[in-house]
Amino acid sequence: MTENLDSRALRNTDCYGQRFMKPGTYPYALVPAGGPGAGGDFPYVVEVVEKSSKGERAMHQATVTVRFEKERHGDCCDERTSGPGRFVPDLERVTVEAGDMVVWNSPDAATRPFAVDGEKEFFGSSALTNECGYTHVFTTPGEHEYADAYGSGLRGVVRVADPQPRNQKELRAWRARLAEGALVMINDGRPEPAELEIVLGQTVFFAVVTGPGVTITEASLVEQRSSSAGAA
Amino acid sequence: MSEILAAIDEMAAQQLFDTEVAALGTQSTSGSSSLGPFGVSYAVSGTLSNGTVDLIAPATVEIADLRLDWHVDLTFQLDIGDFIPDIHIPQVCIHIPCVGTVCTPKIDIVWPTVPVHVSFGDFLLTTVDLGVALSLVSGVWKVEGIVQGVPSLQFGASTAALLAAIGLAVSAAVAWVPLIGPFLAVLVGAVVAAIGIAGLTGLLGPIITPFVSGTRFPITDVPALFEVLPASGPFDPAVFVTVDSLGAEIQHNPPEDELVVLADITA
Amino acid sequence: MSLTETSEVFVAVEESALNDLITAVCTTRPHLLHYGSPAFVPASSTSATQMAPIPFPGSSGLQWSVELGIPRLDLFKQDEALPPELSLGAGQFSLSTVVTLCVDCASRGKNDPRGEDRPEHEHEHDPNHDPNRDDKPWRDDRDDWGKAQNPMCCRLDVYAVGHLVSTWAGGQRAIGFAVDSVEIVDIEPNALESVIECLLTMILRSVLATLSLPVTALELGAFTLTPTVGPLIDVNRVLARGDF
Repeated sequence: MTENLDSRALRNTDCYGQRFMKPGTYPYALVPAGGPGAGGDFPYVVEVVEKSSKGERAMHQATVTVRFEKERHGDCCDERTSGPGRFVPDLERVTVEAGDMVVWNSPDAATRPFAVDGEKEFFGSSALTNECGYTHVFTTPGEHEYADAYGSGLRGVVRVADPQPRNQKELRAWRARLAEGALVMINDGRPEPAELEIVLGQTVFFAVVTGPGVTITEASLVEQRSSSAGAA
Repeated sequence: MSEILAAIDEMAAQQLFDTEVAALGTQSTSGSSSLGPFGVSYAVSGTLSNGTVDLIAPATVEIADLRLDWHVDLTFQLDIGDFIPDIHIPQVCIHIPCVGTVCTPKIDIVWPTVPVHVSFGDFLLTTVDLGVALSLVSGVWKVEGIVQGVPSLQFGASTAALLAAIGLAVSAAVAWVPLIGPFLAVLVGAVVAAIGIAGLTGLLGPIITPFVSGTRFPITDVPALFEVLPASGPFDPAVFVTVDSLGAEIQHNPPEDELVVLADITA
Repeated sequence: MSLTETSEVFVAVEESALNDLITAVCTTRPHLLHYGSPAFVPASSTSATQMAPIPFPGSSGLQWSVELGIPRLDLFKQDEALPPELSLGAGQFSLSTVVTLCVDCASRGKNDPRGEDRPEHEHEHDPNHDPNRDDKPWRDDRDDWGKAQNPMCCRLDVYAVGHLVSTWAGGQRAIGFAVDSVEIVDIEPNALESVIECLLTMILRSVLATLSLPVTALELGAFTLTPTVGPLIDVNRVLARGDF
């Protein structure tokens, strides 16, 4: 049973968040995970405007809901998604103030994994760089070790306990805990805490303050890839 | 009075039926049926063996303790959402120091429909009464023992074991489903309860009974044009007689009960 | 009383069925009942069996034929009338048939020299002789085969009693028929009757030796029988018992 823990492949149990510190226009695309990327075509935009007030202002958040639309051109499929359709946001243009965060999520469990691919280097879910984050709902019990697929040395563990509720009361108690999140701060490729214990169904926020462009990827996937690359 | 009479005693009849039962081999069939609330596709096979022959005048061959080894492969679609409620991961907010509060959207976990495969085998013992039937098919007189009526097969402990097997199969089939863990026991219990003994009996009875009830045990075949002597040279063609009639019955000739075949011939 | 008694399989064949079986064999293979030299039987066939003429000095051989009617069997107890000289005992069968004896009563052969013995080697100078056709141990006068010049025949009603014997036919257990005694009615003087009876006894024995019925035919192959008792003649039927 796999946990599908990989910030490069966003599913319905995942979110990618990016904080935009400077005003400007930030084009981006929504692409199939593992695909060739946007290829210079960034149809959607995050518009960042100046702060509306000079004083202290709490960070605001905008959430973009991503859906997969089946799309056909003649008898063939949309080549951009290497499948019969494409990912589209509910808002093609999102406007936030400087310092705010935009969060992307697809609510559809049947949608294939996708990635947010920004024109700017810091902006993209495939390589978490600055002021961004990845959230994941852990859906399988056990010890899940994660690492950076790009080899920065980032490594950590999330231990997920199976609540095994024996009655309705315990079931309710477990469900109540699902609203509680856990936070892992990643600074210069170092997770804090490196080891985390949660209960099944809880959400972990991996917040990347600064980094060289990392991923949060189940370690077994990274090792499989390394060994297959070595064999080749 | 018949011209030719051939009789065998119970001991020979036992040998005859042992041979015929063994010759039947494994029979199999497949189809679709209901397993409690589920539509199920099945492949089932059955092999008969053993059985104690008792000849009962005037026309019954009773086979007691006839053993049927059966095996069934079942496949049904389990919509998990029919048995446990969908689950929602509520909005989760967390405060990130020096940044602020970030929230995830509410996430609906929709339970999938999964195929469940069950493979199970067992045996049962039954007693059947065979009627002695006669037919002339394509120039051959056939004497067969045909199971009378529909025997009531007792699956007994098989059903409990099969229910347990279904439970294990459900556990294996849904193991990959995210977040199923806390609900697994409830799900298995609900599925097994929904099927129940009645559901299993309702499935097994109709698909396994034909292995017994539809069975024809060949007793003997006699060509209507019977070859007395085979051809043995250019001047010696094969010699035939015509079997005008053939009959079979059980006679009680104390102290024996005997299976008797009667025939009339013409040159 | 059980049919099988201490055995596993029992088979009984009524007199009528036995006669049906014999009739079927004799009808399909009539050559078993019909024998003769070339003047009467030009070639062996399903209908008749060609045999040698009876060699005799001063002739090219005596041409003859013997043809039996399909024998009719009566199993003990007696149902059919028999000549007073014969009686049907327990375990026996009686047999009645008609025998037709023929000889070719020719005064002389086509190539025979008048009033002289013909040397055996004369055919070496015969322009009609084909040495390649000389494959018979008797005179190969094929132009005359099947042309008895002066056939003389008599029909005799023959009665016999006999018993069953166990034998083999085509690798299978079979029953055969053995002749104990033969009677011909109304031939005088008695010495001639005795000679003819002896002759017919020998003929019947020879013919019946070729006439046997596999045990499988007795039970139509309904069950596989390995006889341990019989086949023997019961009252108006042949029965056998054995293992399955």
